[in-house]
Order: sequence, then C-alpha cells, then structure tokens
Amino acid sequence: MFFQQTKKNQIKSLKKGLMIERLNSFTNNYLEKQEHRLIFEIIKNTFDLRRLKNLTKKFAEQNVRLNENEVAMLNILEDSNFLQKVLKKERDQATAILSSMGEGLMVVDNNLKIVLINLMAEKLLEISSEKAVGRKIIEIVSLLKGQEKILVENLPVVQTLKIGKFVNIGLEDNYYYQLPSGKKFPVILSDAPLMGDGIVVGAVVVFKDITEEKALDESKISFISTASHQLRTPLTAVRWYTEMLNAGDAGPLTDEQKKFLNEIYGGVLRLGDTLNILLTLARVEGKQIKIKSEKINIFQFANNLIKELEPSIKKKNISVEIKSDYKKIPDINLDSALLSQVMTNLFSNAIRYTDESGHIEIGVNYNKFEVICYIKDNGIGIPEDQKDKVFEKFFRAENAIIKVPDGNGLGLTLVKNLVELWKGRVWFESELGKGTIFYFTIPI
Amino acid sequence: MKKILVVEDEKSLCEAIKIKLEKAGAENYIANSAEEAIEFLKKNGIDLIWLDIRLPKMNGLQFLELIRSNPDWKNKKVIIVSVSGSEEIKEKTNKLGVIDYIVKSELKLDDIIKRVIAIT
Repeated sequence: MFFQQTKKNQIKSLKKGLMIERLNSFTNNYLEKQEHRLIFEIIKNTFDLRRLKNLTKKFAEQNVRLNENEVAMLNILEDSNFLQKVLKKERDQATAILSSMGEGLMVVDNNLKIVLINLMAEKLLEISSEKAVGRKIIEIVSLLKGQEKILVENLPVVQTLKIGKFVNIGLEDNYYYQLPSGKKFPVILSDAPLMGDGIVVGAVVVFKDITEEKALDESKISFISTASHQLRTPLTAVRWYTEMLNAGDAGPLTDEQKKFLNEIYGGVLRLGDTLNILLTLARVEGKQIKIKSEKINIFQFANNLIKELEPSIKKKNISVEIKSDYKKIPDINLDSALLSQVMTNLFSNAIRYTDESGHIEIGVNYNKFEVICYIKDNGIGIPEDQKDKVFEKFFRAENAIIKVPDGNGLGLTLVKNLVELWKGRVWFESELGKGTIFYFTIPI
Repeated sequence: MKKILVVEDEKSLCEAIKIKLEKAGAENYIANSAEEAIEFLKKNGIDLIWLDIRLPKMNGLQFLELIRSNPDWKNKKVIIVSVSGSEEIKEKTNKLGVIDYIVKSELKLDDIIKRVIAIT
C-alpha cells in the first residue's frame, strides 16, 4: 500500500516533475520565442534607425540642394525680371524709333507677307497695322517706274529675297508707289535682306515720299532753263550789235572806237563762256545731262583736239606729243561732247599755264578696268597749300591768277563733275615751278 | 530773191537779223510768235523758216510739229537758231526734218547769215 502509495506518490511526483518540465520547456520555449521576437524587433528597429538616419541624411542633403535650387531659382527669376526690363526698354526704344521715323518701314517674310509696319508706312500707304500685317506687300502697294508698273518678279524686294541683294532706289530713278485707291506718289526706297542662320528669311523695306523734293528738283531745272534763256538772249544782243558795229554796219569807226569795241567783245565772249560752263555744271549737278554712248578711238580724239587748239599752241610755240605704252587702245564708249569738254579744259589749262616754248604730253594707257589719260605740262605748277582747293568752284591758285588774270575758276570743277558723271576718276600731281599732270579715267 | 520767214520773239535780235539778211540780199519777214508765223504762212509762200525754239505760247517745237502735219507746209525748209543747244531738243528737231541747228552763242552773226543763205 505504502508502496503503492509511494508509487502513486512517485508517479504523482513524476507526473508533477514532467509537468514542471513541460511547463519549463514551454516557458523556456515561450521565452525563447519572445526573446527572438525582441531580438528581431531590436534588429528591425536598428535597421529602421539606420534607414532613418540615412533618410535623415539624404533629406538634409536634399534640403541643402533644395535651398540651393531655391536661391538659384530666385536668382534666375531676378535675372529674368532684369532681362525682361532690358528687353522691354529695348522694345520700347525700337518701337519709338520705328514710329518716329520719317520714313515708312515694312518688314516682310519670305512669302512677301508683311510682318511689321511702322506708323509712317501706315500713314503713307493709308492702311492700319492690323489690316496690313499678314497681307502680301503687293496687295497693299504697287511700284511704278515712271508710268509703268513693275512686274512682281522684277520688284526690288523680290530680288532682295531671292539673292539677298541690297537695293537702293534714288530720286533720279523715277519710281512711284501706287495705292489700291489710285493715289500715287514719288518714292526713294531701299531693300535690305533679313538674315537668319545665314539664309534670307525676309526683307526690310524703307521708303520715303519725295513729292516735295521732286517738285523742288523740277523747279530747279525749270529755273536753270529759264535763267539760261534770260541771260543768253541779252548777251546775244550785245554780241551781235558789237559785231555789227565792228563790221561797219553803222558806218566807219576810228581806231580807238574799234579798240574799245574789242574790249566789249572780249568781255561778252568770256561772260558767254562762264555762263555756258555754269549752266553745264548746274545740269550735271541737277542730273539733267544724258550721256550718249559713242564708240571713240581715244588716239584719234586726242589728235583732233590738238588740231582744234593748234592756233594757241603755235602762238606760244609749245611742243605737243601723244604717248602710250600700247600700240592700240581699246575703243571706249562715251559721249564725245562730254569727253571733249574734259580734254579741252585740261589741255587749254596746260597751254595757258605753260611758258612759251614749253612742252605738253598727252598720255593714254589702259588696264582691265579703265582707260587712263593724262595731260602733262612743264608749266607753273600748283602751290602745295592750295592743292586741296583745285576742284572747288571759282577757285584759282594765286600763281594762276598772276599768269592768266581772266579765268573763271570753273573749268576744273566741270572736269571733275563730268568725269564722275561717267563714273571715272580724276586726280593730279604737281610741283610748283616744274609742272602738273592731270589724270582721268574712263571705265571700260 | 529768196524769201525767209524769221520766227523770233526777241525784238532787239530781230532788228539785227533783218539788217544782216537785207545786206545779204534775202527778202525777209519777221514773226514775233509761232501764231503770227502761222497766219503769215497761210497767205504767203516762203523758201525758208528761221525758227527760234523758245517762243511765247506755242513754242518752236510745237510749231514745227504743226507745220509737219500740214500737207501744204510739211516740206518747208526749216533751220533752228536758238540760244540753247540741249541734245534732247536737237534730237527732236532732227526727227522733224530740220536742215540745221545753230546755237546763237557758238557763231558770229555773219557766219549764221552765211549758213542760212547757203541753205536757201
């Protein structure tokens, strides 16, 4: 029993022990698991912390970058504000310049469509900017040369767009603008290409209404022609009656009367020459001279000139020769009357300002571009300090006045004007007391 | 005797021309305007017209065009004697069949008369 009891107790205690053991094991197990979890949690937290730290670091870095960006953005904003102000100022200035311009201005694109038109152009072409922009220039104005309308393909602005050419049309070109209303006015204009990346993207047309200038020009021409007639007619009367008196048409004259009459006659002839030269000058300056094109052999021309002036050459016993580096000079195309005026003036000057028994050389040479003529004398020369005035109207050098008192100082002005009229050049070399060479060129 | 009609508005010049032409043995009539010259031509036959370009009202060029379009006068000999010698006018008168163009200031009066008589 006891044994049994003991056994029972033993079993009990065994059971108890087992239970404790189980409990222990369970507890241990549990604790172990808990510990794992904790460790896991700790590890996890540690990781989170590291991430957090990293994140914080990144965040801080990004924050710095953001701050930097913000500053940069503010700077950009500030800059752009400044630039905007500058641009606005420039745009305002450009607008002010464009609208205050005395000339009309239009900007067209490659298709002749108007992109911009200024106030003066709006006024002259009788169209508002709103209506003009986007329309083709040829729809709002036509260009005429004299009476004839210029075809679209020949318009200067089309040429500018096509080949990037600058075109200038002046007063003498006689161009007109005509509006769809029929209104017509004379213009001068210039077309310039508008370049973008090296190609023509448009053109700028600047034009001016020259109604007043044209009227002034015409009144100047009519003044010249009237003055010419009014001065020449009485001069002719004086000349003719002097000739008649001299010829004895009013009875015989004493020697003294004849002498006085000759003085009158000399004066009248000089007055006539001066008047002629002044009128020619006025015509050249007023662009009233039309240049004829005649084939001229310059050697022959020079020979004829020498023959014409032979009396005065012989009178002073001057020797004359024609020189050239070439046997033959190509014929030139020029107005013989104008060439004659130039050469006669230079040659007569050479004769007048050269002493008796002097020497004159007429030279003719040429190159690819021009025929170069010169007239060289061994006369009195031009004083150094007066050389820059030689071509001025009415100027005569001091030594020239002493040598030949009755010159008008217009000959060389006319020479320069005429040579420049045919697009040649004129210049001289001179040494006082030794002589002068006058050169002039004729383009080939 | 050859008959010359001088169309010239400047009276002082007309007097000199008249004296010289008479001395040279030419019968001459003076018209001080183109209109006067037309009236004269309607009534009289002449051998040569001495014509100035610048005239009051109808000018010398217009007068020349007018006589060239008239069957009775279109073959009349005309010589221009003018103070100006612009190429443009010379060319126009040339086309209208004038015999000569004399610029008054380029010749002595005696030489002008000689040329005119030679043409008539």
